[in-house]
Amino acid sequence: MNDPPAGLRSRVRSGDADAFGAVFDAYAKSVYNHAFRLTGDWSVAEDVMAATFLEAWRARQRIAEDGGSLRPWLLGIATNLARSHRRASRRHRKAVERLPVLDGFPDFADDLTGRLDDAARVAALHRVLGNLREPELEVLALCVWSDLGYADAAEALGVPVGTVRSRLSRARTRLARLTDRELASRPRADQPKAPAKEARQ
Amino acid sequence: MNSEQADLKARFGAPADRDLPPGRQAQHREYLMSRISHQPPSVAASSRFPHRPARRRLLAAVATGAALAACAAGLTSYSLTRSPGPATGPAAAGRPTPKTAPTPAAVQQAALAARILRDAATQVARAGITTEPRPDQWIYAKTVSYEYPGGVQPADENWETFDGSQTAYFAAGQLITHTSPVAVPGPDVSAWTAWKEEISPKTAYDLLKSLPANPQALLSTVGKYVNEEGWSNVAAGDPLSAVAPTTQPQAEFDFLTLVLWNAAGGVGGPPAAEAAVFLAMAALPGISVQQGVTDEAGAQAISVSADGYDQLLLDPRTYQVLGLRQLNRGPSDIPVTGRDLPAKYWNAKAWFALSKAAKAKLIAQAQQKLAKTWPAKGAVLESLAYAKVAEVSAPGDR
Repeated sequence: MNDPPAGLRSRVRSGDADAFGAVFDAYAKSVYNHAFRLTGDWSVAEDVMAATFLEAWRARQRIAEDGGSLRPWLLGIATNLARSHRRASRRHRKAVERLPVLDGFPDFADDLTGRLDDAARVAALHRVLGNLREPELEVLALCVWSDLGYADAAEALGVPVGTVRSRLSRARTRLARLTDRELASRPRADQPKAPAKEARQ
Repeated sequence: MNSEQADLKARFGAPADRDLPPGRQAQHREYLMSRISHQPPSVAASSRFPHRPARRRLLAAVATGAALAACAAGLTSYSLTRSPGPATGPAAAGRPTPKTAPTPAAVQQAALAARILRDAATQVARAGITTEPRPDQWIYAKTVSYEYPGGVQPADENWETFDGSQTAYFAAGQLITHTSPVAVPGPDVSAWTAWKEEISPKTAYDLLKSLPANPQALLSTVGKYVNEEGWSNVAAGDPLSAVAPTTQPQAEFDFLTLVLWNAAGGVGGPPAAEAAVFLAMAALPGISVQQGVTDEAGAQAISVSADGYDQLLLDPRTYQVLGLRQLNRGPSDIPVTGRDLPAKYWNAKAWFALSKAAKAKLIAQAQQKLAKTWPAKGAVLESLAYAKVAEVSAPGDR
């Protein structure tokens, strides 16, 4: 992505709409893709992206004069909006309706090889990552999928840097455990699937 | 990108970034520019979607236990079976009245809880000469936690300034200090807005300070807030309420617990305010206490709870906040994933063809089966405590 010119922070802060337009040009795509990875839905991602910039403009006076790219800050707003969206959509689904869509789960590794389109890949990822807790998932999305450093992710989420580090490492441990479990219990493709034993993590 | 990030990326990489549909970026830009040209800046008005998303402090130290899928469930096809409850708040205002007459034991328990909480109020008010730290005062906090499944987690050590503008931690033996490039809420921002925008000991302290001293007034203020925010949002991320509250008193209790816990990551709250919170808790219906429990750091504690399962742990002598615990509510809360169902329902089509009742029955059966390997009802599923909190002169000091 192209970083917008220096001095942007203070210009945006002081209400320079053109400067904010440059921020939009630089980061709209980044925010859009981050929102997609958190929601798994391109049209929701578009809504979240639009809302993120409106919200950023409203909160512009809280941008500090110095600091690096505004991207972590924007991704943080988007993370929050995506979270609200997830909660809202959850509310409208009945608990039992949310149960399984299982086909992809034992085969997630295949799903990631590119057979599936992006939405299906993200859905498959989320099924795997469903074993993560929300905060861990968000840290993963920021630090792994959006390539933020720990400090920037901490900025985005408004939590101490040490927290980002411990969440990510917890996510990794949890995923490793899950992967091991999958490998151990994964049915062969040519055999009928059997119910898993009490293979809880 | 460090090796941990690289490893995760290699194994769980996401699809490559793509552009917005043709023409859409320009449309969005045009709309944005038309909106912002006429919009005065408003810091307070942004509170609904704070630019630094309000994460609860306790997320830092522990993630949720029993309801391990509770948070993530929203975006996965996996889920747990507990209903998120009335997420947007109660249908009817006002306090629910018990459906049946309380048992003598319950009456006794309520009286004991009220007595202990009133004692807590007296004690903290008497002991309290808490001096509000300066915004740049460094605070060291070490938290210990246990979760099921998983067991005892590595202790978490963090340094943070009172206002949250700087944080520090050790990585590979090296102290890393981070200064926030985003300003912390200023004095012009209300305590409620600040609470939502920034997680720091100071925002919790300030929120406590802003609460009414009268217990009923306090509860009505808090009740209004939790209803506006939605019970599940208030609870989100709180390990004590990874399961959303199902009653208004519980939502209020959870919220007050969270504020007390966050404040305890600093110097606690203003004594008079903490006393008011304890009195307010004493006025909540259904409050219970348990004496002689031990927190995760090994300290003796009294537990206070609105539902018996989500507990706030207090020092039995000083009534300082020590920790939080979540006990197992029983089989109906065990998270069920698709893998726990008979194999024929591993296919989404087969599953969704079932009636609601049939699904509920299958889930209940899976839970019964899982219950054999799950901790007993009432067992600790999660426990979190401050092992140490201290004002220090510099990050790295303990």
